[in-house]
Amino acid sequence: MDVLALLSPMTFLLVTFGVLVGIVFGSIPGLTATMAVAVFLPLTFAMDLSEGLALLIGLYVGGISGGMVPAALLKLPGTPSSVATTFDAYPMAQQGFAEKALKIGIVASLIGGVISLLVLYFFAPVLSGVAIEFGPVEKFLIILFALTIIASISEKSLLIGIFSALLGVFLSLVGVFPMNNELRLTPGFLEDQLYDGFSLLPVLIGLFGIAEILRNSELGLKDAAGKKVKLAKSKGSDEAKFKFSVFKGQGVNTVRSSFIGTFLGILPGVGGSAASLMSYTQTKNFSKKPDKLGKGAPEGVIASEASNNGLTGGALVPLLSLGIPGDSTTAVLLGAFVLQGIHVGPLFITDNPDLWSGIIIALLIANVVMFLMMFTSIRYFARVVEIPKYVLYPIILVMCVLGSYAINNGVMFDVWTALIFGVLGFIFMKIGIQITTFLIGFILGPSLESNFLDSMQASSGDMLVFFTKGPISWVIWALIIGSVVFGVRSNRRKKKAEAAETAEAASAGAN
Amino acid sequence: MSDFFTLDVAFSDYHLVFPVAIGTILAALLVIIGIKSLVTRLGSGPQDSRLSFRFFDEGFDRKKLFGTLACLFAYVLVLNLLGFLLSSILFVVAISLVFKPTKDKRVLAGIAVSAVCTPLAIWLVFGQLFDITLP
Amino acid sequence: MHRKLAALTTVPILAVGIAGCGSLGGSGSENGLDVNRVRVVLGSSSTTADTYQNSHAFTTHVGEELGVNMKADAIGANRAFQALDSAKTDGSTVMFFHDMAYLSVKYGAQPEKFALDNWKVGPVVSTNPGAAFLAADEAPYDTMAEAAQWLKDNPGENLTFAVEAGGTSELSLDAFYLWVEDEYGAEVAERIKVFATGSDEEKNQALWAGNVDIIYGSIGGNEQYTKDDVEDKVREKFLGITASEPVEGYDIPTFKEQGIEVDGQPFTFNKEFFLLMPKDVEKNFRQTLDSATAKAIETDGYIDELAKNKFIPNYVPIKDSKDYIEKKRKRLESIIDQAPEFSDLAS
Repeated sequence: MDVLALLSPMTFLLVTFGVLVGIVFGSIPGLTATMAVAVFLPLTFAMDLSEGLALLIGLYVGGISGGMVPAALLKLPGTPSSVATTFDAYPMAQQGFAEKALKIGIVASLIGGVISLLVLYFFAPVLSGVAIEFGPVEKFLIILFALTIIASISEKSLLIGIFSALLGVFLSLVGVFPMNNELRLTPGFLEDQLYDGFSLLPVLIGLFGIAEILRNSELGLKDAAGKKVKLAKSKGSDEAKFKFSVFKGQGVNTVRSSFIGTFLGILPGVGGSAASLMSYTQTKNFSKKPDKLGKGAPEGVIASEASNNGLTGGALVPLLSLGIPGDSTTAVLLGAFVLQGIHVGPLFITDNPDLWSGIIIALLIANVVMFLMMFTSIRYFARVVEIPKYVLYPIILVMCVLGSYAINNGVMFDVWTALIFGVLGFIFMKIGIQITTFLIGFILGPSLESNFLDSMQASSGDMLVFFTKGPISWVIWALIIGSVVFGVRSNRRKKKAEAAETAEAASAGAN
Repeated sequence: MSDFFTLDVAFSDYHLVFPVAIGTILAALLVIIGIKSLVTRLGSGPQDSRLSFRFFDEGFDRKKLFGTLACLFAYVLVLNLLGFLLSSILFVVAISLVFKPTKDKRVLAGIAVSAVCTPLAIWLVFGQLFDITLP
Repeated sequence: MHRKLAALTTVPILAVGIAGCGSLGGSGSENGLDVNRVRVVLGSSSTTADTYQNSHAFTTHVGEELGVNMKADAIGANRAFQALDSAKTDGSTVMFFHDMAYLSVKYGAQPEKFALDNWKVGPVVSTNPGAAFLAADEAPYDTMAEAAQWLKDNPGENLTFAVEAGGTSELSLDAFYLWVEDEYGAEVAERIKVFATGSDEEKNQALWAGNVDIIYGSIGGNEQYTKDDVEDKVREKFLGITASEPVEGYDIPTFKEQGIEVDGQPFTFNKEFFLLMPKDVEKNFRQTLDSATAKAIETDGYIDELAKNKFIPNYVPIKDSKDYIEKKRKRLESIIDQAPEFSDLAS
């Protein structure tokens, strides 16, 4: 009965509205799920808390899911957690399978979302212990583990891959260090502007959006006659049609990726973007055809999307069982509770059973609504690739500027950041620095640093603590080593295979 | 031995640990990459075409590339002066013409429509409806 | 071509239509203000911090009283100061923050150019009396005074505090340090250490991970961890609050009641929220805002909203607020001057 009472039409309407707006925010580069939740946060005060949460949860799920749309169509991740989606979804879209790529992503998102929801519902109290067991030492190692993606995606040269990532880390350090409030790497005349460093979103927009457009204008913006991207008609081509059979043989991958996403969501302070990167690496490591990944393999899209939606339920685990938000979006979400004077803590679930089931139901509805909304409308979204570039690019640029300006509530320097990193990204392309790896370094850099120095603070500077902390850290070390070895080996094998392939180039298309 | 693994840095210098460490590794990597490429170059003989590195593609579209850059910089500069709506409209017109220089009236009309509608829609939806701070 | 363009333009037009029905209506300013929109920048970027909740109550009720749209932007201290620095004098941008506004400058966490002298201090609007210190439930002491005694009795032990550099937590720790030094000697005080952390969430985690012994939190935020049914590993207990008066309904001793003194005076610290405006903000705006605040602060809506998080209304009109804050600042800064540097406390 309770459940039915909670499923009021109002709740349903709010979730639906939230998902819709969330998708819009997510699919516009620069506007994120976090921002969507922050924008609507003050409105929830006037609502009943369960209704307010329904709205915010809709925004959260919609925002995370919407990020895949520009990632697939424009190679411009809508949110940081959809970076890995670009690896395979964009090549697919370029081959004319935009609709298929997006549909795969949507189904994977739904599965990831629902798995994480089940984990949240059944294991939240148990898993809260996990969040406590993982201190700075373990989190540092987890981020290191996420960084092993460099080994699997730097195809040309591992050395340059590492260089690119570290350069990203280096630039993420610019500005004030919050632990002791000291500035570093900041030129004197930019102290004000760079106090908080370069913001992530403008950097992402610059590297992926503006740099790409600059590159295209250098090429003269030709929709080169032979290469013009057309949406392959589903009727004509069997390959372009989305079928659920794509998921055949992908069960393990889907479930593993969902769990990786959920698990990383549970760890506060690791950052949601690590989730999709990590599951992408593992998918590649375990894949039977690792060389297909990065060239438009459905399994790569599944890995990224299942895990970034897995994040949603995961990040709510420590929030609802401890009062510690799992990622930046849930941190804002927590504000809705606090505004109403409800402090979420270890007793929240037992003390507020109605609210708890309301959240679960809202999350379930949000996932289903997201699926229905996106699955039915994706055909129209996918047409974006057919719009001529001279029409599309100005619009994208305006949105890039809007997003950069708005992400920190109106900071003009953020727009400059986007522009600077646009030019920088263009230069990177020319001199061979890998943009994606650079961005991964930039995203993970700050949490790498803070967890390292927190570990140092707690162990009075003993760096051996990373080896001696206990069994959890040993397991992560094993994973790190395994992942690097796998990645390097599969790259080597691939190089050999490529050498062989050039010899018998003719049979390449047969697959 | 154990001293080597002890980070002996005063708290007031904590902010420098990572910049110094990462900076050092970056420099080392740069040296290694330099040596490696030198070795491969020497190994592959003098006729290697890679010796002459070109930044821009051969015959690249100078007008479009620098036109885009100029439009972008101008756009950001005037944002604060003219506000989001007006400067975005001007920007879309300008950059569309850079991308597709044309006198075809139909295309021009299309550009005009897009130039007015896109910023207007963004301004209304995000600036007014969602109350997001715009320039 | 045609159809594509048509499709492309339909979407924005539709969006315009929807938006048109939305919020374009409210732009009146009947109160003689030049602005119809006031941006309130917050010194904290967190939406879970007390600054956000206090500002929400303020912007809603004062905004209603003024008949303008007041929008709170949680952008953090440095960005907020910068926004205020470049703000017009018509009151279109004001800042909402608490005592950390000047403490952070004193501690060197914010540049000198953002010192209190550069702003017009607006009305004080509310107080969070719940600033508290907590320890793990199984800790061998129940108050701050007992913790000091325990430190003295156990010469081999340290007492590590989770503190944010340049925040109000550092201030309260400084006061405790000075008192311990005075009462038990430097040898005991030197075993007080700090562990730098940021948000309340991080402080809790540091406590549970065993990296610190005592954290700085608040009644509202931490009460949930002190209840009987909470699992041992995350259970906490209050050691004392810094406010001048005990908080109703809670049996937590104040620093004053525990006899914690600096310079022979009991140490009390009420975390107060107030506005900062550009130095030369228009007089008309200033006065209109002040009288609207005076009215709004009396309303049940405002009081009730604050009460949800155990905050209390506290109004000091604009004509007195400058002196009021200055007096408080002098006392607190003399404590800071006597206390050791943060980096010396960090182990």
